[in-house]
Amino acid sequence: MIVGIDLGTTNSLIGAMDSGFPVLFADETGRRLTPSVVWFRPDGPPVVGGEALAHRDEAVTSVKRLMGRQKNAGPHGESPEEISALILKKLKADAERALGIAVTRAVITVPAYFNDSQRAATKRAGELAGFTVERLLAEPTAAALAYGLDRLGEKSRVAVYDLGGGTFDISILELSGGVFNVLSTNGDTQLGGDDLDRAIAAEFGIDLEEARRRKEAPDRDPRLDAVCRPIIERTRALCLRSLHDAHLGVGDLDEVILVGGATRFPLVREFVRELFQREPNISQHPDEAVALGAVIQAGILEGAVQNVTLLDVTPLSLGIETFGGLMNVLIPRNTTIPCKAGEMFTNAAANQTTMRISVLQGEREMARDNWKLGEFEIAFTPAPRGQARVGVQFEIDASGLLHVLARDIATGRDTRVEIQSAVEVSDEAVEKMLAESLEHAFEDMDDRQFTEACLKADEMLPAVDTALQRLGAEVTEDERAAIAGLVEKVRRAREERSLRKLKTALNELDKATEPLAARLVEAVMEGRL
Amino acid sequence: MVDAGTLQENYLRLAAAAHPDATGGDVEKFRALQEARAVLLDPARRLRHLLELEGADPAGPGGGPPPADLFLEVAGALEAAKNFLKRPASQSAIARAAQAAERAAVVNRLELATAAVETRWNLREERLRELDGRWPDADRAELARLAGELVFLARWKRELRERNFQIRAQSGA
Repeated sequence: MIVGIDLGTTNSLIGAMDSGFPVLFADETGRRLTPSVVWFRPDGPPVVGGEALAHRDEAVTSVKRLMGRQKNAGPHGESPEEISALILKKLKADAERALGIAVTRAVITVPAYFNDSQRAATKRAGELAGFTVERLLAEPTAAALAYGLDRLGEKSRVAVYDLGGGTFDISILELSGGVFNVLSTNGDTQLGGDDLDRAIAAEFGIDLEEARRRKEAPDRDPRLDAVCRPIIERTRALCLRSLHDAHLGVGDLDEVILVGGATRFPLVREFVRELFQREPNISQHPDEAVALGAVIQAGILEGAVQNVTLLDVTPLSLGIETFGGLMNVLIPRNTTIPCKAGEMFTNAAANQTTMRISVLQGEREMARDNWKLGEFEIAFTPAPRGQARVGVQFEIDASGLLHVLARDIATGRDTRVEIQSAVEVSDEAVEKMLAESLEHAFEDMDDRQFTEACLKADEMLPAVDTALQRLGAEVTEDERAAIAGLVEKVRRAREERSLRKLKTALNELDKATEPLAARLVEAVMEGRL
Repeated sequence: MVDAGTLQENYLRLAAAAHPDATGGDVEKFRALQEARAVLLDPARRLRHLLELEGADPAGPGGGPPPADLFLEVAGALEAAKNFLKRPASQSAIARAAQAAERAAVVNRLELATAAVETRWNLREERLRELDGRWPDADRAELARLAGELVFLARWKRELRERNFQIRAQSGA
């Protein structure tokens, strides 16, 4: 018996297959959703779930956001894994009560865009709770499973837009004859309903509880929409990138499936409708679909579900740091898992005994701009330069977890390599880093603002010239004179090194040239220039 | 020659059986299938594989120098795109408008280069089809040259496509 678990930012669920159907278990109050909240009582063991919600202000909420990123999350230095384990322990107890047997094996879902550190933390949390974690399953894939289970005969291409409490994922899949093939995936592990709530709370000067209530209110408040729109807009580029990676256009999709509590928000539905040019598919229960998918995956692993295969992908490119601080990609993003790649290393100096390798995940060119999973050392048998060789194999398993194996070419011996995690930064160190960067921010603030204003001027003045030149006779003499006057003001303010005058002059020029800008863009669009 | 649709159908069927979660499936089988699919999908890799099977030398990774005429056009378009993307975001309406004009020019260059690469690609694929029809009476040297050229064309297609996407994404198009 393997259970399926959705370990969510806001709510968690657990279930198992029952006579061919995925079933979710209820807690002692009859609820299938367990709030992912942990209250560390001053007197007594920690409280998890609905009971803890009553003490929300002192409790730990949304601990999922800290998994694999921070060492401490609790009031007494508990790690995010330990706190998540408490939630998982409660779910385990609920399942055992429902089933009447001990439960020790589980499938746990993770955001598709979780990196190796975040996934490893989730697996550790499961183990701390007493589970053998048989598989980590990507949440959009789980939702697709729940959607597609009774459509196995069909062939279709779907997108899953999953906006949860703390994370966003977009996955594109093709479904064909029981095979769920993920074509591409993208996301943001720090973007979700929580951000919408915070923005609303800040705008209206209310608390998060009230913000949540207003967000879910049936009557639409334009001010609320205005404050939430830029946050939802952040998902646009990720969706476009995912489509691009899958080599598909919005017209090639058959459905866009919404999942995650935040997709109940009308603004999100409108956004999806506009971006994907179709009515979003809301047939799946936003809070339960992922858990149902986890249960189905558990069923596949234990043989209870036949004729269904998941082909998932790794969401982030995997590589190592090389010369010049560049990232050398070994396994590109969206490669079907499990997969592996090998790299050969040789000693740069005679009798060199070790070499330190940094392992990274991400899409940026420079190693320092990517997420560092950690470092490992390979050992060379002493030899002349270039003669000692060690082959390193990077394998990403079906859970999206990295395993590294080093083989000494001379001896043929294989050694498992442990990656020393980069998440060693303690809370005090983070505080110190933040304080230092803030200090420098206030030094020479005026100097910096003046430099920034000059940069803006350097950009605007040539642009004004270009626009006047290109539009030629379309610009009247009066307009030219007015603009020339404002340009002169900018120049003089700059010479005088007056920040106040420069900022004012720039704003005036900006406003005055807006109509000109619009006409230029129009001319470009019409192909007149 | 490979029909992409059939290939995908067969791949999915075989993947379902070879996946480690399936009874009788395992990681090695699955990985071998991935590798086979990657080779079949890429005409350059297919050719190289074929030539290797024959014991012929596919003349190194590039199979020779890149097609010179296209190289200049592609490199120029990619360079222009890269430089355009490096500029910081415009802070005023007028600067944004001036940038719009330049963006249109850069995108146009990328699209012309892409069209040129695709035309050449279609030409070479047509030649491959001819040689396929004449197999095994096909000149191995010509096949090796074709294999080399296709590697460049494929890479340029990818890079042009990527830059085009980045520029559109930046403008919010």
